[in-house]
Amino acid sequence: MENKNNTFSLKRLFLLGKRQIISNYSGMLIGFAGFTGIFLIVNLFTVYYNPGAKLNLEVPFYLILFIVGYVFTSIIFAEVQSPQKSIPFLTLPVSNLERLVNAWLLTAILFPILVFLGFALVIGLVYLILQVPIPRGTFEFFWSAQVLKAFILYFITQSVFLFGAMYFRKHNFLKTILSLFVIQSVIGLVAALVGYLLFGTLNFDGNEIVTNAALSPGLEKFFSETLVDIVKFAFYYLTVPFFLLLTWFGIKEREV
Amino acid sequence: MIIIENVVFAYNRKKPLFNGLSLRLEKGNIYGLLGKNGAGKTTLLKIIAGLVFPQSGKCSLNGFESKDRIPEALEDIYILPEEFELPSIKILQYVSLNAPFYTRFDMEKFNNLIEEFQLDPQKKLNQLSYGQKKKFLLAFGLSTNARLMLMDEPTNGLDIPSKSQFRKVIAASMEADQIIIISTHQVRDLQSLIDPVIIMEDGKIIFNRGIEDISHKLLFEPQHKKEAGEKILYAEEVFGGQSAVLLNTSKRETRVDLELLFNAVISQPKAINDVFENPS
Repeated sequence: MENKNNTFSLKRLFLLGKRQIISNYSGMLIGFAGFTGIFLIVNLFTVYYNPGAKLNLEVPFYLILFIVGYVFTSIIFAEVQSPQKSIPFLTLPVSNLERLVNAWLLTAILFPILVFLGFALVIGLVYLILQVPIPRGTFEFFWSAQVLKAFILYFITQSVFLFGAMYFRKHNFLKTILSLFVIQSVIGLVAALVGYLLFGTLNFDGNEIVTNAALSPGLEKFFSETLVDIVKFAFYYLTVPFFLLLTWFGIKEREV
Repeated sequence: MIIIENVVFAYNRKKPLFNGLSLRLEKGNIYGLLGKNGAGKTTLLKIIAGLVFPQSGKCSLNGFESKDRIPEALEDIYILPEEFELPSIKILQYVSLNAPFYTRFDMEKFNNLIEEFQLDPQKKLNQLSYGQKKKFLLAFGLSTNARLMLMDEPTNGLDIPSKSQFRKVIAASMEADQIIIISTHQVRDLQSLIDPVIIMEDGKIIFNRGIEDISHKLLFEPQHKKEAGEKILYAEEVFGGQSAVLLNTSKRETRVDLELLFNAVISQPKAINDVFENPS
């Protein structure tokens, strides 16, 4: 008898991804075509009336990457939210890890690639349709450190929305935003309270507060460097694994 | 084999639905799960399929715990729910996307069942009627060759010819290593199929017997005329007389009337069960 790997199988992961994309492809295709179409028309007009000008890509790029990306991530577990769809989804012979990796690959990896390709396609089409040469530097934006940073930021923050997609039962995007606002407010309040107790002021302005507080050199280094490094490390390296782990537990514990 | 041991489950903490439920289900049987609304039939199916988790106790299928939902165990479970939503893709596309997850999927069997049910494989699933969708899901489920099939009200929404097709198809597909559990209120539709019969009330199993055992111990008289010396266990007024369940003291056997049996067990659980437990 075949010895089955019940934890992870690339074959099952591929089948699951294919199933999810094709079963929901009409909605995804309409969404992709709609955004691309609107963006194409706007840019066609821009280049038509000002052929030499560079296209303004930054604002739509960030909007689509972050807002559409977060919304897309928030609906990735839509099958689990509907009682009628959740039965076939949860009884499909795949592991919880495969369900997680599939959703993560689609939203954290495939989506940014599609955004990137979508923008390249629109730019190419605009100049091709209008028979205008592509101005130098048009694609520079896409290779900039700014865009790379945006991709990294999206990659990290979308894991929070992935968790929200599994954790909440309805209106996942809005509930995740609201939760982030509440958590941020609570953290802000606690930090302000701790800051006030330590430094006796609520007027935080850069490192000056630490310098003016006349702390011991060790404590000053801790607040101005070590603590900042810890927060940065936690944000860049721990956010994604932490929220992926929480999402995995969410899938594992999910009931109809 | 399915083993359910001391399962405690509650939607509402104050009033558990199952409080120490235990049950063993053996392969080669088509279990009929009967009970009033809210008795816990659908929840029991969901616990077996690993869709809801008991607060304590365990439910295992062929050695795997249901709540773990591991691929090897899920390949052996197919659930046909009462309510479902299918994607707007063609029948064949659905099969090509979902069948590869089931390594024992039998395409020839699927094609035969689709033909039997007169479904067009090129038709989109959202264009099918409720009954046709149900027949499609049944054909798909049977073709997975899952060793456990759970069906919640499978004949609801089926027209009269489809109900007999359903019985025929289930009887023909049943394998010796399979367990089929059918939860239903439509007992007359499945009368000839079900064996054994499990009756639930308020989260408890109040009756669990095979058809042969039932017909040895009980007599079912749809038009009964009372005679001296006989022991009527349950009777109900029907047009033109009385339907009754009697203690079978003769060697005679009658066809088990599931509706009458259900009513008898619900109203006289102790009297009916005593017949089986204390034959004298």
